[in-house]
Amino acid sequence: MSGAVKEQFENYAVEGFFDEAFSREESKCRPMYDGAVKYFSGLSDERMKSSLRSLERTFLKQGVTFTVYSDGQGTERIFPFDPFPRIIPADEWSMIDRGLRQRIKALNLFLKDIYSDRRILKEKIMPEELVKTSKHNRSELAGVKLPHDTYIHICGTDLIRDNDGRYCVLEDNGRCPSGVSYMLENRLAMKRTFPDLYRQLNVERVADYPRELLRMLRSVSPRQQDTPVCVLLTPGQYNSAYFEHTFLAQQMGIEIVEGRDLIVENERVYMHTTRGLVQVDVIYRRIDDDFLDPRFFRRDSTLGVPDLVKAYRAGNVTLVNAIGTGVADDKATYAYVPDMIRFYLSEEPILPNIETFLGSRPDELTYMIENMANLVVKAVDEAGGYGMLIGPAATSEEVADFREKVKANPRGYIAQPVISLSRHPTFCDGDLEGRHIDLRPFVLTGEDTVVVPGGLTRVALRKGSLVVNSSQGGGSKDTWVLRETAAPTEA
Amino acid sequence: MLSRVAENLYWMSRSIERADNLARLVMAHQNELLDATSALRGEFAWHPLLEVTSMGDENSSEDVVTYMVSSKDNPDSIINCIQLARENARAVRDQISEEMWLELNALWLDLKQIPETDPDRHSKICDMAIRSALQFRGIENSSLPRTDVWAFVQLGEYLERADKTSRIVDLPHFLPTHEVAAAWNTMLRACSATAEHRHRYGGEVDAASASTLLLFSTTFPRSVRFCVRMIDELLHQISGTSAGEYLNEAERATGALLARLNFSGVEEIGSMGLHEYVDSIQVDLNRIGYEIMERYFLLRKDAPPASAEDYVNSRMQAQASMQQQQQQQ
Repeated sequence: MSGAVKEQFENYAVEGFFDEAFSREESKCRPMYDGAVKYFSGLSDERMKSSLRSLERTFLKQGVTFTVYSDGQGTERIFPFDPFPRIIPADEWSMIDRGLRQRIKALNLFLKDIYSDRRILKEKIMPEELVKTSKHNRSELAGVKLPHDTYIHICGTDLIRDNDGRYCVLEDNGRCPSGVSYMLENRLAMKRTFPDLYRQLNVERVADYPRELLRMLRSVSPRQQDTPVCVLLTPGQYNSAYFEHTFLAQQMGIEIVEGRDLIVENERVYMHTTRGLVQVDVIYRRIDDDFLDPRFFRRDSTLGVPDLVKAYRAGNVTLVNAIGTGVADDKATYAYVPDMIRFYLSEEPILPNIETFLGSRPDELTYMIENMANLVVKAVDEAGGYGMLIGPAATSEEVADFREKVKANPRGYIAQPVISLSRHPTFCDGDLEGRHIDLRPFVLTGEDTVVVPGGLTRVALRKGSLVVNSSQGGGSKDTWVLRETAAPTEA
Repeated sequence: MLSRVAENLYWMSRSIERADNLARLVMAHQNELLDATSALRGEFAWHPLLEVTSMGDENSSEDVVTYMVSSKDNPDSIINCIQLARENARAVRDQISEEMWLELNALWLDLKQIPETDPDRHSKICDMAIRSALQFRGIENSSLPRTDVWAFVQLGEYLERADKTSRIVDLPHFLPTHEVAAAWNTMLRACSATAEHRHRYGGEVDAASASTLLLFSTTFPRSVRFCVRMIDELLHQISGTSAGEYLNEAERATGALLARLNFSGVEEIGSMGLHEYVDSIQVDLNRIGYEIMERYFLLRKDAPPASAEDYVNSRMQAQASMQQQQQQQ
């Protein structure tokens, strides 16, 4: 049933979930949402409809699309967008900011450690076996010296809020996190469509991201010269995130290259230009480790650059992110991040993990197998919602099937309790309804660490769904982190 | 600039120009056909166009107009050229101005909106291709910094246009003798040269005046000579060589063709005949295209190294002017 926007707010139901905008008890509007709720309630039906239409046109015309392969045609779709912004007050954000800094620091120390001294393994904080058997472990590249000892330069940590509104880390995403262009484009579209609301709320800027990214890339250049040559290495224009690759390259004013544009000679990387060969210092690569170098990793890779690993090992080129960060993304490694924080930093974790049962620990394996129907079970080396069982939503055959998989390869699986993600009011087909969301903030680390105040809020648009991935009916919202001071300053 | 990027820019531009010229030719021929005598009606009416555009070996069951305008099977159909242009543009979106991409993307989206069953589908596609190509060139002209990006876009434009104009001049060769006179009008119309011809020669259209205008005019921007002179200038701009000096094979081939057009055009036509002359021009144009590819696009390990300073300077220049433009929005 569709009604005027005001009516939609009156009919809105929290339904017992943790709702970002309304408190559970009396469905009262939380203070930071006051302005937005008043604003949207005051919009006429026509104004709302025309705003939605103009948003959609903006995204389509800008080519803000991703490619869906499942329909056989590689159709370009726009990433569905909900205009109701997610709003985070300054004090909450400051906690998230500190938590993310702490975590990235520990993860980079961990990666340096396991590729050099292996202290954390020697002191038995983490089982050696776990690191050794991790699919993305690159121990053959141990000992390579990296500028500022940074392995994960760009991190896209996934955060969720549990039923009590507590922020928890769901995944660390330290390989090639994507989505940052949507954060930037969403903000542009919101500012264009709802300038009056935006101005009223005093929101932190996210537009500096490309500049910060470029500054970070330059700071990790192995050659000390005024303007290091940085490039973005893309798999090519048919990659689903190609829009993001060109967007970022353009914003930074650097070349976007494909593997075939680069050659390695004398352990140095060059790009082929109309004026000859130009040496490259830093490669922001959006290609997985496996495809980087057909002479070192997968032989069948057509995306990579032969001998790139040689140049990397010689210290003549920096890869962003470094090779081998996937160990930290292993979902079994995830369970040890709180221990890492204690071990390397002697601090208590600011952002908690979700309770995790490891197949590699015998007692937890037993628990996992006995309670599988009530748990979420995940393969340790998959991403994007693949290789996953949501126990309560699965049939008994599916559960039995997964039980066998786990028994056959306990190291390959972890389990977590089902977390009901927080919900956020979302405009759905002329109605306002609660939809589950998560949050992906972006953290840059070179000679220093920058946490962008904002991020990509992903929304599971299907009613009741907990899956926010764009390939499975997910959409996004703009994320507004409020400034501490009340006085609005004009950007 | 990356060689691959230069290649994408060049093909983006060539493909738009190709779609534009084909659309012009189809519209002009359509217009003449309505007045044509019986010999040019019926199933062979469109075959001269196939010959002229070298799509002659068509044996699909589609009718010829569909084949030229909207066929998926014909790599050079208007629709396919536009799609190719868009794909090339997409690959270099970070290099061209935002408005150039928006124009091409909008054209592509709009074309997809025309239903297959629309009786006016073909003329709509042609109209849109022509108008959009004009807009694209206008945007290009007013928004692209005059760097190598500009030079390679222009190179594609002028090389394709020279080729197409030379082919259009060859149209009478493929018509029955008593229809040839009509073909002069089609030629001029397809090149937007009707008004210029009238202005210069008065009302009478004949073989000599029409072909002289389209081949040798130094002022008409679609004439072959005009286009080749632009190619010559652009290649010199790219390599930094002074006019009159020739650094590479692409420049030499262009210089040689320009000299032919400048000094011996009419005599050559007199001795070899128009059709043969135009054929030989196309051979020279192909050679130029080949040499550009060899020099600038193909990955070679023995390419001379560029000085990093040079590179950074040209890059910063381009970046700075791009950012300046963005400030104005």
